[in-house]
Amino acid sequence: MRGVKILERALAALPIMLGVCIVVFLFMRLLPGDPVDIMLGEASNVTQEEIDALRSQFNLDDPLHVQLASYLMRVLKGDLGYSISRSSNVGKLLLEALPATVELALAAILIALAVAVPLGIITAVKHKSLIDRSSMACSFLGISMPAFWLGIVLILIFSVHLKWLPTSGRATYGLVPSHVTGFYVLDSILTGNLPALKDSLRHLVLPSIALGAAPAAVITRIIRSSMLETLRKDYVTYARAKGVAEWAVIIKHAFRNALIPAVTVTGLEIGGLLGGNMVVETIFGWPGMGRLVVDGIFSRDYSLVQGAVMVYGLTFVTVNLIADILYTWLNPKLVVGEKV
Amino acid sequence: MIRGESTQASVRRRLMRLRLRLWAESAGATLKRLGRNKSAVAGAVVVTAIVLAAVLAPLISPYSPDKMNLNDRFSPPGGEYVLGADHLGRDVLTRILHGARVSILVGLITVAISIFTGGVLGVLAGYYGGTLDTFMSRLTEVLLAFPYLIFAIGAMAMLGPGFWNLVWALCFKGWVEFFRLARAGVLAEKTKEYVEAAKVLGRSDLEIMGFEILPNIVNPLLVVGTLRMGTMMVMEASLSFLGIGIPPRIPTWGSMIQDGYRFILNAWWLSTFPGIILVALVLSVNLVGEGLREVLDPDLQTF
Repeated sequence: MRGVKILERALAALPIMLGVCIVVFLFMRLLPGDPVDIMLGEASNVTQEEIDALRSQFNLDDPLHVQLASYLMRVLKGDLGYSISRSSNVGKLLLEALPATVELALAAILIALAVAVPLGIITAVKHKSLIDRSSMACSFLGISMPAFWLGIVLILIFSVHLKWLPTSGRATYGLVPSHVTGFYVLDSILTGNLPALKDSLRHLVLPSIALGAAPAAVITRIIRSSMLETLRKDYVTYARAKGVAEWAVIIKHAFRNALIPAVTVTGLEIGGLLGGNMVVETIFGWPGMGRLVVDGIFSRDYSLVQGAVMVYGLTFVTVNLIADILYTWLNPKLVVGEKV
Repeated sequence: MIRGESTQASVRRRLMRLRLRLWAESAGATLKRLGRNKSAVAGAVVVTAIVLAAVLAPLISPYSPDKMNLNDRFSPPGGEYVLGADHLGRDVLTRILHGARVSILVGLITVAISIFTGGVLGVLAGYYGGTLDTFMSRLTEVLLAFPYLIFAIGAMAMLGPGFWNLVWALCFKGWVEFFRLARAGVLAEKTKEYVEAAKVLGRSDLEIMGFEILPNIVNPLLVVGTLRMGTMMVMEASLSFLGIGIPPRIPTWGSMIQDGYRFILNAWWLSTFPGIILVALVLSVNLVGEGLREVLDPDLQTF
């Protein structure tokens, strides 16, 4: 039964992905005038071949629906267009930048969960205590603080003032691990390169805190509120009455059920993380997709921006789909409900 | 009864007066309960102070926002320039006061447009259903598939910097949330007895939607609207920080932080102060929003 539900969800994501592609295609129509002219207006030393490549990429002389159809066909084949500012394929550029972005996003979400899960449980168990109140105040601050400013403050304190951590980049020159997966932390472990591991972790600390702070705040609040709810449930009282140890009641009985909304919210937060990462990557000189896009905007490289926005959208749909599948898998109600 | 008026028109007029009185009463009660929430009051005080400062900016700021004094470049805070001077010798405090205008206007205008568009479309879609509803719901699902900031960055990349371009870029996706709230509200309300009664009494669809249903579904819209003002301000600052929001000649907190970031090694105050005031404003708006939520719609999941 759960299998059917999961398959249903996966199929429902397909039209949304198609919609994402269509919206991104229409983005280009926001440009007043001929996109190719506008792009080339800024670029110098463009060859005739590149102009032709762009012309055929947008086939602007065809009617809109023909343009859309050919655009979708190219996307299906994995062709996201040609970047004039970097003289390369957009798909290839994004793929090269992807490991850096994913590494940072994973580190950020790990930090967020490492803070949010224990804090969410403690604040719910010690409801209305000092620790609860101060954590809630902090989480409010975390929600209200823009990631880019937090990043700058962290740089000011830990890099400029205390000189503990590097200000920017993924690795110190000369300490880049040899390429295996593109994930520096993983690569340095795989190649047994200890100095590189230490170096890449040091570079990862500040950006992932800047990026992880807001999700940490949101997830803490969600875990807290759903823990508060489950702690009041009859089965928790029953478990206590049965003489189950208090920690086991909290972890096994209450937290397992409180986890379900947290999974959904974590999925949604990863979306915010993807957005925040553009700004954080810019601040920390992190060579990921976000910085690629921001550079693309300034060099009027619209195919690059368009391709990246689509990849971000599709990634977000996929992440939410995974969260939904986890949710279905975690939620026993759905199965019991089907059997009755 | 006004002379010459039909009975029906008179009933309507009196009904309208009754409604207005009820709305005013419930608004008063809401404010009263909000006043008992200490953090909401604190938030409201800070917001009011910043708004006043922004309105009065040209009168109270010590300098002109664009006045450069190259002799005073990078003057540290505390001296002649209370919060220091930037790389062109412009007063940071003055520029913060002027920057507040952009943040507040962006927050107010984008949320107003989003609530209005999303609310109207959501009520219509929920009430009539059919093709309009199906189409709009699919469209919102697709728009929700984009992380907000990415969508705004993409739109700004195409539109180019500018105040109104920024407002539109934020509104393209901003209305979606209000559409969904309004639609869900109407779907829950429209089968209730009072709506049936209004139909039997021959009220027009417009009257039913506007006067009967809307007052019952407006609370979550107001709560989320308040909270989104903070989100929009952060988004504006992020875009201006990236250099694709408000054009550089207008002082904004985001672009001040960006300017200061370039000189982070020797002038810490340039990025720090605009950031602090931005966080203070957003935090205060959020406190008011959370306070409103507790009064108007305690079960609403906001963050």
